[in-house]
Amino acid sequence: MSFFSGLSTVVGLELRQRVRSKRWFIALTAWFVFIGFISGLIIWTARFSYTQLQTEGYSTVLDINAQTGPMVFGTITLFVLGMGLLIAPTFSATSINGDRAQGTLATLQATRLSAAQIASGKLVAAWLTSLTFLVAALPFIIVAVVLGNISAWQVIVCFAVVFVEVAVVCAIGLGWSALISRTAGSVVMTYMCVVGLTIISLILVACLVPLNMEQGKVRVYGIDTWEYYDDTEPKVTDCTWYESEETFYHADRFWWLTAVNPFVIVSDSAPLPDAARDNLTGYVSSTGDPLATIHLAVRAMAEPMATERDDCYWVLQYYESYHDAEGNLVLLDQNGRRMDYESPVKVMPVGAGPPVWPWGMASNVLLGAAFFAVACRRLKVPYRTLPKGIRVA
Amino acid sequence: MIAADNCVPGIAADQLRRSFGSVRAVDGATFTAPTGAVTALIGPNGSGKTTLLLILAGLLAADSGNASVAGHDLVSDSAAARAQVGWMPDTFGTWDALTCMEILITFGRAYGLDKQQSAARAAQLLQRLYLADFANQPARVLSRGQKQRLGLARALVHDPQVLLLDEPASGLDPRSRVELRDLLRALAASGKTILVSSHVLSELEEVYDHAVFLSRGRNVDAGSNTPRSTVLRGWRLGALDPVALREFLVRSDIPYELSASPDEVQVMLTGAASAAELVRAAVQAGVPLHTVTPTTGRLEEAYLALDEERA
Repeated sequence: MSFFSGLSTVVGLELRQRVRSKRWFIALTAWFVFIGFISGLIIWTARFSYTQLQTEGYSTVLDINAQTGPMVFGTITLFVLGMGLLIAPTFSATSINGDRAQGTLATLQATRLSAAQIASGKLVAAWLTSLTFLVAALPFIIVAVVLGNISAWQVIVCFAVVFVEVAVVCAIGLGWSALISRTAGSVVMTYMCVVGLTIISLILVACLVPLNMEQGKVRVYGIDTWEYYDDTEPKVTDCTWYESEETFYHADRFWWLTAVNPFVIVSDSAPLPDAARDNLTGYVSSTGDPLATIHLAVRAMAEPMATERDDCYWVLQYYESYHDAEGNLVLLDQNGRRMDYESPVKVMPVGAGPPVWPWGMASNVLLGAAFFAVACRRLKVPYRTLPKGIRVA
Repeated sequence: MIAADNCVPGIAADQLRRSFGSVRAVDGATFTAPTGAVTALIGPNGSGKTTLLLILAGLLAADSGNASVAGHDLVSDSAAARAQVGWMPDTFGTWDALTCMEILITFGRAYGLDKQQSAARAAQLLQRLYLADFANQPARVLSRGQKQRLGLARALVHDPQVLLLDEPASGLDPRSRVELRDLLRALAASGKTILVSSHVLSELEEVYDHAVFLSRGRNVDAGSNTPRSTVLRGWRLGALDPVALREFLVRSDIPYELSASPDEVQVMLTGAASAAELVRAAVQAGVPLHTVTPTTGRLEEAYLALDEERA
């Protein structure tokens, strides 16, 4: 018997068992209506606030689709990810101990199927079931894509990453369902892991960063206020280098804690639209695209604090500032023309650094693989030791 | 009896031991079950029957000792051993949403049969176990006895050399029990090794060739292989005139005990021959006998002897 024929036997068994229940269709229909409602609300809210801003006289550079599309697509994507993370445990976290309680696991283990075949069959079935729910959201994603001129590439990448993250949660649930004999216990532990990856990781960063503040010296190019203060208008020519004692937050030591967050992984992996490539900060503030916002925030955290800084350009009357791909400061006046100023400090634009998401994704996949390995080990017969509270049949 | 010395026994267990914490569930069980025969596994509750069957089904590793089924070691050659074993646990669940046919096909596939083979085998077994009408019904509509038969079909789907049946008759109506008995005899006749555990000794009585008695996880010699004729067994005698019967027994110097029924008594005899002798003498003496029957089956007697030993 080949590995895959055994695998497909288990997958077929699991899927039939799940899909034939009436609850399944009720849940899927309810979910479809729910996500349609939420997506509609997001689209409506985004477009409503755009027109509201226009009527209040705030000039908006972009048209309504370019302005609201990324926001809508990003929000729906993150929402679907969140729901996927909530749904996946219900499908996988009871799949081993539930079968054991029903007395159907041992008869399967007694066949020629190997532990790996049973475990991977259950994983694939739980994953496919979860994916059905994500695919049910697809019509609304398409609406967002069409409205927002989102590239197909961005959609594909985002959803591929969401699918992987859901698989990771399925594997965690499978592992817990092999470890804990009570189904309630394994579901709770799986949710705890999801909470750990999403919320606890953020709380840890929020606590560790202030705890690791320290004083340090920064070379600043600018006007040392205490020495040069007088009534005259400051000029660029007054700028000099001076040392300043400042607080270092060292977020760069802890950014990786946020990198394990599935929301960060999806956001960071999303290919940026062309509009964001040159000026991510500007794109984020103009569109409010949540994917790009998280992308920017995490990559900014990962950058070590600069030991040199240019404060001098503040004295100029510029309208917009950003750093180009070479790290040169670009200042624009209100007509969008480049101003004549050369900063002595080069700052590489945030986001130009290496991507964060491969680390997060790799750590998540490793975690999932570890739980999957646990499930395989716990399904292997003949049992040498039986953990407390677990019966063979 | 049937086992030939040059044959690999269907099941061979040597000094099997298995503890759960401080409880020694199986404690040195040693026996063989020959091919082409039905071996009864008998013992009181908690004597380790189910644990022993779990070990033989390849689900539980023994702490020490060896066991093999159809010549395959259960630990070093687990997958091959499992492929040769059909195991029917005492309690088992079914996949509620699947039809009987689908369950059997799934198990056929899990044992490595291809789709056509599984489907053909499933149809054949449903027919043989009188479940053909339920082939396309979900398993949840089956009664307890029907589920039990489906469980047996499941254990037979890959045509295993060795059958391990844990209380197969529980929940079966009398007719199904007779059918089960015939099925087991037919399987044994075709060369399979069958190990049956049951509490309902009367039904094993009619089907077993050998018996293994388990007590406290160990097989004990309960006289199962002792020839029938030398074992004292209880017989129940009934006569139309109970006074005449009792007087006859006193005259013949045969000790008796009064039975629950007023016209019956119990005596201990060594076997069928002595029973026949007693009947002849009683009829000659003019005692109107109407009932001569062993009070207990061989297994039950051995079982009760076991129980006394335990106490």
